[in-house]
Amino acid sequence: MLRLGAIGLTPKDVAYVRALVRLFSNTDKLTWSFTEQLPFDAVVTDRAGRAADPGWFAAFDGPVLTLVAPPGAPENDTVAYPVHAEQFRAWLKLRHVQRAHTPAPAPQSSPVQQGSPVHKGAPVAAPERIAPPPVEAPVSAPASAAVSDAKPDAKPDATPNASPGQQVRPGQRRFKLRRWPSAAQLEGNALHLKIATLMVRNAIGTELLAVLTGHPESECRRFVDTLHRAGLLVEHAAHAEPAGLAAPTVQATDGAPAAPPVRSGLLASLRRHLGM
Amino acid sequence: MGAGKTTAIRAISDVAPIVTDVANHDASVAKARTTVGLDYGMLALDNGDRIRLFGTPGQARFDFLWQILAREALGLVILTDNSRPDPLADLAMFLDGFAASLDTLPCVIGVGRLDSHAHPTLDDYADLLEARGMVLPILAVDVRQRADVVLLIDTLLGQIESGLERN
Repeated sequence: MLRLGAIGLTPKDVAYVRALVRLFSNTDKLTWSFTEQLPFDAVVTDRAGRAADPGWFAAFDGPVLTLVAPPGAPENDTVAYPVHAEQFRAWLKLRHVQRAHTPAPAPQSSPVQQGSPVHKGAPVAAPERIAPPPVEAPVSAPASAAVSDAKPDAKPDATPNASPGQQVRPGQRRFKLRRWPSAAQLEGNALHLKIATLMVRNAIGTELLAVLTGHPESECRRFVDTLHRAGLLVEHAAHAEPAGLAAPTVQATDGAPAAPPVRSGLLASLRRHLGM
Repeated sequence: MGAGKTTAIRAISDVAPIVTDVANHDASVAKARTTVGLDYGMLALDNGDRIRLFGTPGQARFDFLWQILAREALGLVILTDNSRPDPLADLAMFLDGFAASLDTLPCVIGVGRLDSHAHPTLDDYADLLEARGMVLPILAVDVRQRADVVLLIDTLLGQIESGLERN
């Protein structure tokens, strides 16, 4: 069971996060549980919580989701207030998939008193043994997309628009279809069809493909590699995935007329209705 | 025309579709009746939302309707009939008719009667799209099968889910 904690949130937000974790862990078969006691595999906080004890967060080697107030540009591991359930759900799923494919970290020391409630204004002490900071350096999204034919499993720094000094994980490299695959390439495989569909309009990485399909990233990468070998993909500039996990909307691009926004809850409801 | 719009809507609609079929006098199409207005179906979701399904006439003279419907649509399914004399020309006509919307509107192409009429192939359809600089899902479908119609809808939802704002 993965343990999600909250640091520095108001009791109202703690209750909301707890409810969402319980809901999505049940509906999505995720192995997350909300806890107020260490150790944590991941934590949710807000700006004030982080500012209150930056040392603890620097030492914490798990994912940190920061609830932020609008306006503000999307960032890695952030969800803007008001908290949308689907965004929070996507973050849980992303981190669930990533955690399933990474080795378990070393046990944490105890920076929080056992059983102490977590609430706003109650920063916790830093752990005694400090792990190195996360290596998942954020990647800025350039204004215009670059296109290349780089192989999906090539070294991340081969991505043309990655900023100097910043590291892009292979799963964050984004590819888009240049042509719909043949029936032979799709092999009548539902996952292949889903992946191809997700890559029709958007450059997308295998991390996010894993989240959206509910399949392991390794499976998604295999098919992405197949598409690449067939010359069906173009690579776009590297982009940090969590920023793209905002609730799906249909927006205008390049002056085109805007389609109406689509609520992800509507999509889920429609899928249920049709028995998908 | 003849691709199965009415049948597709009937396959998934919660209500009996409202159809506007009349006797077909087009000798090139082997069907007794064809749509001259709008077919209409509806899905009533558990959260109270309603999804409306519109089938528009396939003839180009009705293209004024396409623009109206595309304006508020969540997605577009283009059904082609592979037994028609020139299915690729039919598709091109729809792509032209919806050109103003296809940059933003999720779309999928369902090719019917591929089992009895193997040409053009799905690759031929993909060639046509590629020549126009477009990428759209192309699926062989039998719209009498509910699962095939649901797959078309699922393919639209997948495009929406991937987040159109990211490009």
